Amino acid sequence: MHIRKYDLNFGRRELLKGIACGAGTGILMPIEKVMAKDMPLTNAYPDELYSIEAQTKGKISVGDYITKANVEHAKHILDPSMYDQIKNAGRRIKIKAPTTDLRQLFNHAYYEAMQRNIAEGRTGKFNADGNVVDPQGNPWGGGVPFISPKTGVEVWANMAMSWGRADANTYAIKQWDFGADGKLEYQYDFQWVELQMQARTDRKVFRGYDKELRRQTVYFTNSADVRGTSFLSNWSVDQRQIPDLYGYLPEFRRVRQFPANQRFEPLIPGATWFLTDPWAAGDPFLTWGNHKIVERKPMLIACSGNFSGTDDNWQPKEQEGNPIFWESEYEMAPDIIVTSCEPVAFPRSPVSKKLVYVDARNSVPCGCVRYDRQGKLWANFEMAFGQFVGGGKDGKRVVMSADGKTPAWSWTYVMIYDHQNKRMSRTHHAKKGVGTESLFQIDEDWLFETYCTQQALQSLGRA
Amino acid sequence: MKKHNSRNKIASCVLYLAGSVTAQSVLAGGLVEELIDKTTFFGQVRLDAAYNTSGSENPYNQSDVPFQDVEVSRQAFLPPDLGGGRWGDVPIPALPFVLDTRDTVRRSDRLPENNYDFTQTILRFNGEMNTKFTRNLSLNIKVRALFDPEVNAGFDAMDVQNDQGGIAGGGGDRYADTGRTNFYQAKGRNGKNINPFEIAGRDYMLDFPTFILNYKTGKYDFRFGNQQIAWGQAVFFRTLDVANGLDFRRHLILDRAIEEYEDERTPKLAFRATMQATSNITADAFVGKFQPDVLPNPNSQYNVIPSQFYRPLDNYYSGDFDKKLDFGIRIKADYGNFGWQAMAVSRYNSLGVFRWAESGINKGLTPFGGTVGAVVETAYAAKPKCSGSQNPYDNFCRLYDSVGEALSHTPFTVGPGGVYSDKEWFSTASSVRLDGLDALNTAIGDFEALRDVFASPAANATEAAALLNTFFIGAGGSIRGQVQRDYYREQVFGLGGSYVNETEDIDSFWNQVIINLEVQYTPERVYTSPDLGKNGLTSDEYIFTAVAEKWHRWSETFPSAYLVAQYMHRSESDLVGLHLSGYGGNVGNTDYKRSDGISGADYLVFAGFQPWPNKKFVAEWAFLYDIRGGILAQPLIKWNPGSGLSVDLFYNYIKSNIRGDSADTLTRSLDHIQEVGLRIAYQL
Repeated sequence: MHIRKYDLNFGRRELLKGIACGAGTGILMPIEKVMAKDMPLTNAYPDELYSIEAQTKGKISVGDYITKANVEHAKHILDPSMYDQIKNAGRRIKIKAPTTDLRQLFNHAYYEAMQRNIAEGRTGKFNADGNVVDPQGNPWGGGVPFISPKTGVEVWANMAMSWGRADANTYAIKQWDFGADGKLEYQYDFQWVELQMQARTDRKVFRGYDKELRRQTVYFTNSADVRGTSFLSNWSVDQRQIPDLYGYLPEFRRVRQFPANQRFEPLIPGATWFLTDPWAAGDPFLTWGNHKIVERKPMLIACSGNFSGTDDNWQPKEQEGNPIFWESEYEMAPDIIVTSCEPVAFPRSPVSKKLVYVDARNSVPCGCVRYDRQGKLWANFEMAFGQFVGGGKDGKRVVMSADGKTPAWSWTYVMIYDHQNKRMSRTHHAKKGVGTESLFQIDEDWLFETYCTQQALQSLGRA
Repeated sequence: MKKHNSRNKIASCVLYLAGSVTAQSVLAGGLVEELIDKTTFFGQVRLDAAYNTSGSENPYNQSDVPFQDVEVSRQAFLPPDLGGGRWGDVPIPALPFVLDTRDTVRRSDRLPENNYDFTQTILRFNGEMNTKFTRNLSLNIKVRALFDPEVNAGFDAMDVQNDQGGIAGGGGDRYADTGRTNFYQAKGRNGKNINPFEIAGRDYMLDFPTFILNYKTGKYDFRFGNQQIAWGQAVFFRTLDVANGLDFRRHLILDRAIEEYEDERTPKLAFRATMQATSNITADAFVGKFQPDVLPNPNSQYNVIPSQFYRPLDNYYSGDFDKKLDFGIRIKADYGNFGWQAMAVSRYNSLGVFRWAESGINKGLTPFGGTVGAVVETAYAAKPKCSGSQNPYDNFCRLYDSVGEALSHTPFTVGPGGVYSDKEWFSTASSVRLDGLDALNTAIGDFEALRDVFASPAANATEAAALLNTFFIGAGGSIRGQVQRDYYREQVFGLGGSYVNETEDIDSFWNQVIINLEVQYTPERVYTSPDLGKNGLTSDEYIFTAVAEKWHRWSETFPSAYLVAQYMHRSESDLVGLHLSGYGGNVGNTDYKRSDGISGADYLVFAGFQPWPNKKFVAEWAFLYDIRGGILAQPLIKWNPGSGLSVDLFYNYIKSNIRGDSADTLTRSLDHIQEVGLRIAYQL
């Protein structure tokens, strides 16, 4: 029990010191060691960094809700968007106990890949172009390249190289868009597909596509006016390149090439998110610049849970009396890297910077706050993650991951709140949608042929 | 639960319309419940309305053809074949109450006025059903059902049934000519629907733009059924987009421009296979049943064929064109910033070729044609019947028992609402890119029955005017024309290249401009001849298109605007496929001017859209400029208020005489159209 060993602000001081000296993840013990030996996360951080009571001087406890009434006590452990949502938009969040098992923050295969890297002493490095390569200078493969990120660009590389922390991901996503008056205006279903060509857990190159990092498709199946619309992004392994973008618009009935720099445009009416937003690093990390670590501190994030309360289609409960929000469970995370960067390759970007709140333990972004050109808070791409465990009829529901043996880990919901227009795009990772389906055991060849080629877009498109 | 019920209702509707079983029995079975679980349904109701702001009516409809309200003098002449020298040499003197060989005529005195204040009022339902039987196999059905409440009913042939014996039927299915205006039916001359997947009546239609079984396995995708296939990168310009014809019935090509031909492409029953051949190359091939363009009916709002003619007799079935196949292949390659494509298609040209047609309508000149008609009938009866190798060219003999029978073997029929004067004849001919003099002489040359009734070639417009007015007077008013449509196979070859421009200065306007060049070459394409000759006009054609697209952000607040600029050059035909040699001629209420053609057609397009933040509003615009002086402009504002509702407000403005001779512009045919349009759609 380290809490007796260190004073209340020890952890915070160490985190701050770490920024100055480029320290890695873990105060008491490096995260690599915790991961290598499957130790509890409490070995890496002092308990007070996990304690909501300690961080709020006893004003808030596990099981409490943070609401407008008590949010001031938690302001310093919330990002500014969350604080504003709770303070001014009627949101509430429930505090759950912190996660101390590192495995619960990862997909099993991904975790294993990182353990192999640690065992081999293998880590990523930047080549002369700024791209991430392995020790032999080849494009990186296997887990996050920087398990213990020390610089801003390392954090961004970790986020951008593998979004969903699996080699193949396909999500059925349901989206509801609410207006400033809180009324539901738009409803959509879409499939989001990610297939890693490289930076794979098996360190291989998918089908020999050695110039590409990832193929990603978004395919709208509902509502009727956007049904059949799809976009395919071919990500180059060179992160200085903006992805090639191909799209199928039903009106044209054919696949057309789109300019690659369309990263800040709403794809569908009512949506508050752009292509640049998903996974915080929605664009190749070298197309943004001035990557910095602004701060490291304990914060409240939705890094685990948020699944057991969902219904059979994995839909979270709506917040009572304020359905623009999901009911959400937040917990203390000991080490959040607050990192920023600027859209240097997009001179006409309406965004001046992103401030991303990254869990140092797995380099997963939990909040991505973008600011407009005047530096005003614009929107937050808020992500919740967790193992797909709990709930169901008997409370013992488990959704299996790709190996069919271990629980799946993924995002559970995303909410994108536009602070300037008071609009909300509320989404969740659904089991099924209108013409969509989430899969964890995925035939990658099928996924590639069905979603990730121009021919696939043509085939998916409304005939 | 409400949503589920709503889906079931749409399901019922789509399945019922699909026609195989009743919705009730379908929904009752457990198997079908399972199928519905694998099925997605979409439904939309929509109002399309447009209001005419031009103050002009469609010049191809009965109420506003050339010289509609102008008094025109007519004089009958002794035909050359009856010893009159050349046409116009010997006027037949008028004798009050005895010989009515000279008169004045004004169309509007003979025909009721039927104007369209609302050029479009359509209520429609769009339904879609997609059943995924397995991951590989799916069925996709789209239903389009629409009803026209007829705010303006249009011309009714029954209103003129007491004039010249009315508009007679015969010689084919005259469903669109002999009664009230028929807005939607499209039939071959044998009365069968041109589109086999369609049910239509005067004021409604229901069809299946998509009805396909889709099987996808690995890098192959196969589609079989009624479908649309679109190739090429150019927007609106159909350089490589040649697989399907167009259906012009509902709103010509004047729908929301950015939708391109979504509602116009005529679906065809086809088998299509696409393959991701390599990581960069896709191959796409089809073989399908030939399906022609569908043209608006006479007197409908957007009619483009003079209503003085009967609706063209379509030889789609009688010529066995319904059994013909189109087929083609396209290879498309993309290498990041570069790309190319090539295609070859063997198809029947969907516009077809129009030529004079034998009417098949036995209707003589008497009693409608007064004394002149009676004299002609008498003179004809006085001729001995031709025998052996005799013909009415070289011998004074007749081929038939009566003038009526003779006329049934010509493209002309006595009846109201046809052409009343020489001036109307010439101007109407040039309005559809024909030459009135050549067309007249070709008819006389191709149909010996015309020589039989004393018509003979005219050396010039003056002679033609004399001939025409003699016949019009003899008919007692006007004569209606007859044309037919045939189709010709052609081999279409296409090449295209694309390039994404990248500049060192990433803030440059020219950065990320996508350029596409496309060329089509078609040897020995057959066009409608400006003289309506039976063999059409054959020439090699090339079409060149350059497209530059750009997404540009003007401000921090607004999302990027989509901008597209295009240029098209066509060597032989205009944008709708009519040969350029028919251009020129006279326009409106003017005297004959020969259609001497133009050497090439060149068009520019500037179009795009600017979304508002959150895309709740989108401003769209499209300008088509014919460099000879015509313009089509369509500003549009789209509102997406949410809750399944969307509203489009637009204006269509067409002008043909911004500069130069309006007769040389594409838009001359449509420059009566200035309308404000509204579309309200609600998703069920």
